[in-house]
Amino acid sequence: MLNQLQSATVVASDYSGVGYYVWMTNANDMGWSNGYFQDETLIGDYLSGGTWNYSDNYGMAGSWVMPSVEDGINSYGWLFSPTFEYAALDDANYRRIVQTKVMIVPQGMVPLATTQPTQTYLVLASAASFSRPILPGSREDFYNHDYFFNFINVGIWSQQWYAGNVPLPPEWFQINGQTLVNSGIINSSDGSVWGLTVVSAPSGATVDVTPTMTHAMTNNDYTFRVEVGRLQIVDANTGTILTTQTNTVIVGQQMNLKCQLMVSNEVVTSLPLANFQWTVPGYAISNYVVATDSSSAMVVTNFPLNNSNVVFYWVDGATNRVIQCSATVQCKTITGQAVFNVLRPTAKVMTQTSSVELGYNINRTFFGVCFGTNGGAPGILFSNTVIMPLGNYNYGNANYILEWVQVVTPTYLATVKFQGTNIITYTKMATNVVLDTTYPYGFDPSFPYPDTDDSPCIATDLPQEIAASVTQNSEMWLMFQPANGQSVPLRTVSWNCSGAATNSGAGWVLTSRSWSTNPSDADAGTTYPVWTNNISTIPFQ
Amino acid sequence: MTKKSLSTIFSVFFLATACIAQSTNNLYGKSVQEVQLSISVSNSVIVVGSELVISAEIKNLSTNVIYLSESSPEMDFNVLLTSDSGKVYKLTPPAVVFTRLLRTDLKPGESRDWIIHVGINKYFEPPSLVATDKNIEPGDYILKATRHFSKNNSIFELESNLLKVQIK
Repeated sequence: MLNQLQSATVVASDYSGVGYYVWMTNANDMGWSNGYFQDETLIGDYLSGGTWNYSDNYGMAGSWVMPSVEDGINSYGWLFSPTFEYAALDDANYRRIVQTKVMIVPQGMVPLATTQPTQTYLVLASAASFSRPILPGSREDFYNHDYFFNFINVGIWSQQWYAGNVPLPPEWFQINGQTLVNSGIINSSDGSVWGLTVVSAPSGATVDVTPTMTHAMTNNDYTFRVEVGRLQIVDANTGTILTTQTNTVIVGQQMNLKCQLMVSNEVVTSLPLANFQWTVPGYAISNYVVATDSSSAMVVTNFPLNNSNVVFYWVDGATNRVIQCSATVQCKTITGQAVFNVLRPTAKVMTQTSSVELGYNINRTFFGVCFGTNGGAPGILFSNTVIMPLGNYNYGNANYILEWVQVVTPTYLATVKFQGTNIITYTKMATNVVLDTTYPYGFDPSFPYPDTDDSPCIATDLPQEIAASVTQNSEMWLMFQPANGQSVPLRTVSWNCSGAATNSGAGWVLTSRSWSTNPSDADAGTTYPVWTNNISTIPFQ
Repeated sequence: MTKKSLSTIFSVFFLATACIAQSTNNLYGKSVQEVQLSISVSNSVIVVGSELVISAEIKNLSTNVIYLSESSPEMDFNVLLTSDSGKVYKLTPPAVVFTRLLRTDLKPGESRDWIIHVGINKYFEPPSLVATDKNIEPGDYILKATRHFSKNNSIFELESNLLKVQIK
């Protein structure tokens, strides 16, 4: 799968082994006769496998294959992460040389390689030598030597890897030319202490991480283990590791992510991480705050990016969006990342308008200049369709809610005149974006869910009223909120209406009117409805 | 009339008064076209200058759909305080202009609730559209709400039950 990311794995990249002795000193050993001669040679590399030659009284020969580089699993289904060995014992009567090189097989799939040219790995290694020489020719040595060989060849034994019994300080080793830093973590298999270093390599490239000894050893033979530690981005709600897969989420879904150091899918808690830094692409918010009294609304786009956790909500959709988290461990910076496909519902808002008339309002409860009159069709009717994307997102919870939010945009102006001794004029004006009365706007139960409507009106039936006019520009927003998530805008409709009427004594006359006719909707993008006041609290002056 | 009789009469009076002012009462106003309006308050003693929160309910017991203009509770209801002396204070703004007006209905048998927030630090004196920014004086008042609805193209006005409240 192209987008499937693989965890970095340490595998043997190259192996050679020679076991040779001339004379058997113990005639009864293994039941073989005195003067038995053994000579075995193994040479191989991870791509092409290798050859095995074995000579004794009977003579044997064969070939073997190194495990797959893709998943670190050998052909028998066993995790190929054994204790490796380096030995260089040479004498007139015996020769025992084992040379194993290990490398990191990266997660270098194409999309990742293009988004991050360099990959950084935290490499942990530990080693232990032997208190006495491990020579060919003894029963113990024979089996030990063959464990590795037989495992990769025929796999008939379990992973009972042998290890040295003298722990070696990690500072005695180098990887990639860098001396290991003592982590203080004990390797339980041999009592050695894990050392660590950071290795960088081009994304997708293998990198040699064989520890090399910088100090002289008594028996010139040691075993070692190498693990690759990585910063993993984990879903803090479920514990799911997100780094190794392409993740599917939906806009508005809570993203609660955690950045943690892991080795072989185990969380490493003994190595403190510091200096966290998240990189969150796309338009992400932490909150959409509407005041309790609906007097204001704002989008909060800032959220902490320097903690081990990050919580946010994506507003816009995208494919292959890469989140990164970096942190320092032992003064080294390492980076983890996870890939997301952020889905967004497909939505459409349809409108149907009537006209501005002089008449009873939509519910026939008063008389005025109204957009929609006399109990007929409302001034503007909003309906919508929302198609949820396919896929498994929001933890399999496909529930969501829709909301309408309407704001009145500048400039709103309503004027009413009364004839008394003098003409008294009252005006109500909004020069900023203000909420239209309620948040959310609400649905109209007299229409099928989730329809809503608006029939703005200015009354002309007040005592001594001689003139009334109103100009209203509005934006209606369709908001989407997945279960347990945050509200995000999907579509918006800009519309307007205005009307004016006068009464010079002979009755009311409509003097002007205009309105948007079936206005079309537009993609809301990442723009939220925000406001600083509520139209209902703006008084007449 | 004995002292005991007077005491009994006063007790009955106070009980009746208490029932009227009881914040949790569920009394309705007069039925209009088989539609009724009820109001209640959580606290019948209000501090001068504070906010009065009124719960309102309309139930449609008729066999017809009724229509209610819906903007905001403060615009849709007319809330009035009447003092002992008969002075009427209109607590809600004049219903002159509506930016949000939904054509909502109430089907037969349905009821709906609203919460109305009004301050008693200002009131309206029609025909003025501008609020008088003065506290309503301490004293005993009768609280009432009204609201229009339409049914079969005719307009009707609902009146709520009366609540006795005290401003201190």
